[in-house]
Amino acid sequence: MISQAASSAAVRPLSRATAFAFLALVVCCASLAEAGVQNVPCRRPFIFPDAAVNVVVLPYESAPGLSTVGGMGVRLSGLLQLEVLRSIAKFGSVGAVQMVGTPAECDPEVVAAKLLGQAPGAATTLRKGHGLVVVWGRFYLEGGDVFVQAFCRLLRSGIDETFDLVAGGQPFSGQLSSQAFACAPRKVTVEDIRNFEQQFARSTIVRSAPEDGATGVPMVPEPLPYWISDTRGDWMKIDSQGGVRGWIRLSGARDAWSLARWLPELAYVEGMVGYLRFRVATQQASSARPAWVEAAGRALVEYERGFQSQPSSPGGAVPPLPWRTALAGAVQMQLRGVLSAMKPDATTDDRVNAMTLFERAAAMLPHDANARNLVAMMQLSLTLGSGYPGLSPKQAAADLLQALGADPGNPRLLANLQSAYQALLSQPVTTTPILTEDERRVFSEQLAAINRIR
Amino acid sequence: MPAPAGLATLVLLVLLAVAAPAAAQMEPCVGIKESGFKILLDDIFEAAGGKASPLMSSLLYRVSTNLEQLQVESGLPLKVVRCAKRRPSDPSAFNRPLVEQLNARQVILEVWGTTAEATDAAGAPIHEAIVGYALVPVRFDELTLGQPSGAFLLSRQAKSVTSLDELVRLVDQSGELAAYVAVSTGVRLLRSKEYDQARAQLCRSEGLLARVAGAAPSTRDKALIGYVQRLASDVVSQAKADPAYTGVLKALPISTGGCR
Repeated sequence: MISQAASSAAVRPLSRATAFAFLALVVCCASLAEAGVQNVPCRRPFIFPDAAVNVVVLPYESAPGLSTVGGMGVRLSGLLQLEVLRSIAKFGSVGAVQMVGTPAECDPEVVAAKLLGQAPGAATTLRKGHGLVVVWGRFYLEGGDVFVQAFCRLLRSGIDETFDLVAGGQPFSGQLSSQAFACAPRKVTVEDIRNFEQQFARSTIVRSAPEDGATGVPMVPEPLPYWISDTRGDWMKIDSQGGVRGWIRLSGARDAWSLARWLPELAYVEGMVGYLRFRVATQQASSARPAWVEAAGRALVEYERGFQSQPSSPGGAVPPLPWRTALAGAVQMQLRGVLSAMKPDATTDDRVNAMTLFERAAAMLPHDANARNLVAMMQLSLTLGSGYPGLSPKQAAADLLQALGADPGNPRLLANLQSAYQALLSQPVTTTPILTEDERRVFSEQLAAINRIR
Repeated sequence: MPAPAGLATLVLLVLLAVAAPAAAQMEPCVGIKESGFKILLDDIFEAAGGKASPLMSSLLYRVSTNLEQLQVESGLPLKVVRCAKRRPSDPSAFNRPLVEQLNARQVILEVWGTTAEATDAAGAPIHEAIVGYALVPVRFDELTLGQPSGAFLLSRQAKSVTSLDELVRLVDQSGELAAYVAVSTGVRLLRSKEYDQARAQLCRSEGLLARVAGAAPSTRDKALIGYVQRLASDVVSQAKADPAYTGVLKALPISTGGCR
C-alpha cells in the first residue's frame, strides 16, 4: 500500500491532500528539530530551517535506460530516511527529509540549488551556516540481483568548508579533498531485496506500543512532518500535530538483516551529520559537545571497519570491485582528522592522530594537493613552537612548496606557504636555530616573492 | 553541485540505439555547439551482425554511473553531450578535420562502446565489451607529432557471464574516465596558456594514469604517462618564459621535474 502510494507520488502532481499537508508542513512545522518528513516533492524541496543540520535523501533511480525496480528506489530512500533520522537524533537539532519526484526534478544539483536559495522553488531554504547532507543513488537490476551505488554531498550554507588553525602565530587553512563523492557500487542479492521489502513493510507501520504484535496503521503517503518523542532499542516513537503518532520499528544490530549492514553508507552519513553538527555549533559559538565528536568519529570508524573486513579479492582474473572509492575513503579520514584536531581541549595526541589520518588520506590520493596541504598544516602545528620528535617545520614548508608546484593556482597552499615562511623566520635565534643563515636568506626571498603575487 | 541536470536523460537516449544494431557511422553531434568543456557520449551498441550481448546492460550501467561520478568528483565544469546515432568505426575515424572541429568546440573527450560475442586465441567463445576513447587534444598532437596515441579502444573480455559482480567489475571505467579527462583538460589549458590550471590537471592525470596502468603498464600507458610528464614540465618552462605570466610557477623555485 505504502510503496504504491510512494512510488506513484514520484510522477503525479500534488493531490489536494498532499498540497494541504505540504502547506501545513511549511506553515506550522518548519521549526521542529529532530524531525522527519517523507514524500516531499523534489520540485518544491523542503528542509527544517531551524535544524542545524538536515539530511535530504533523494529517490534512488535506476541507472538511466535500464530496467526499473518497481518503485524500490522510492521505498529504499524512505527507509533510509527513517534509519538516518534515528541514527542522527542524538546530535539534536537535526532534520531528515525524503523527497520524491522525477529524475529531472530530483537532480541533486537542482534540489541543492533551490535549498541554498541559489534558484527559486524551495518551500524553505537553508540558513547561513547550517549544514546539509544530500544522499542519492543509482540502481542496476540484472537477473534478480541489484547493484546499488550511493552518492553523497556535505556542505554548510554560505561557508567555505575549511579547517583552520594557528601555529607559530600564523594562520593556516585547509580543505577536504572533496565535499561530494561516489561510494562504491554494491551487489544486493535476491535475499537482501526480500529482507528489505519485509523491513520496509515493518518500518512503515506505526504501532500503538513498541511491540511487533501491537496494533498499527500504515504511515500516510503525504508529506506530514513528525518528530521523535522517544526511543527504546530498535523502536522510535514519532509524534505529529494531529497526524500520525506511535512507534516505528527499525532494523537493529541484533537482526539477521539490517539496512546498516546492507548500506554501510548509513554510518558514513551519520558521521557527516555529526561532523557538521559540531562545525555548525562551533561556528555559531554555541555549545559544541565533545559527545558529538565521539559519536561522529565512531560512525566513521564503523564505516572504515566495514572496509577492513572485506575479503581482499574474490580470486579470478578480474580485479575485485573496490569496497569503497579512494575519494570516499580519504574524505572519511579527513573528517575524522578535522574532528580530532578541533575537539574541545584537543591534546597533542589528538593532533598527532589528526596528522596520521591526514597522512593516510594523502596516501590514498597522492595526486591531491588539498590532501597534502592538510598533512603539512598538522606537521607545522605540531612542530612550530614546542616541536615534535621526528618532524621538521622546514620539511613541512618544503612539502607545501612541492604541493604548490603540482597545484600552483591553489590559494590556500600559497597562503599556508607564506604563513610557514613567516613563522619560521620569526622563530627566535637561539644556540640551536631552526634555520641556517643560508636558509634564512632563501626563505626571506621566497616570502618576498609570495608577498608580491598575493 | 557538479552533477548536471539532464545527464539521466542523455544516457537514457543511449539505449534507444541499442535496439537497432547498425553499421558504424559518424553522425554530426547536435549539442556540440554548447560552450564549455564537453564530453561526447556516442552510442553504446551491439557490434554489427552480432547477437545481444549480456555485457550490454553492465556497460550501460557503468558508463552512466562512471560519468556521474566523474562530474561529482572532478570539480571541473564538464558537460556530457549525448550524440545520438554517432558510431565511430574505429579510432582512425578521428582524422585531422574532425579533430580540429572537435577541438574548436572545446570537446575534450569522446566515448563510445560496443559489445559482441567473439572467440579467443584458442577459438573458445568469449563475451567482449569495447570502449572507445578519443582524447581530442591529445589526438591533435598525435596527428602532428606522431605520438602518443590519442584515440584507442579498450577491450574487456569474459569467458562466462555467470557472475554479475564480475561483469560490473569488468566494464568499470571510472579510473580511465577520470585520468583521460584530466589529461585532455590539462593539454587544452596549456594551449590557452592557463598555466596554473594546466599544471594542476596534468599533475593530477599523472597520478590517475599510474593508478589505472597498475604494476605492469602497457606500451600505450607508458607513452601516455611519459607525454603527460613532459607536458607538466613544459608548463613550468613556458610559464617562466611568458612575460605575461606572474604567478607561482615564475615567482617560486618550482622544479620543471616531476609533480611530486
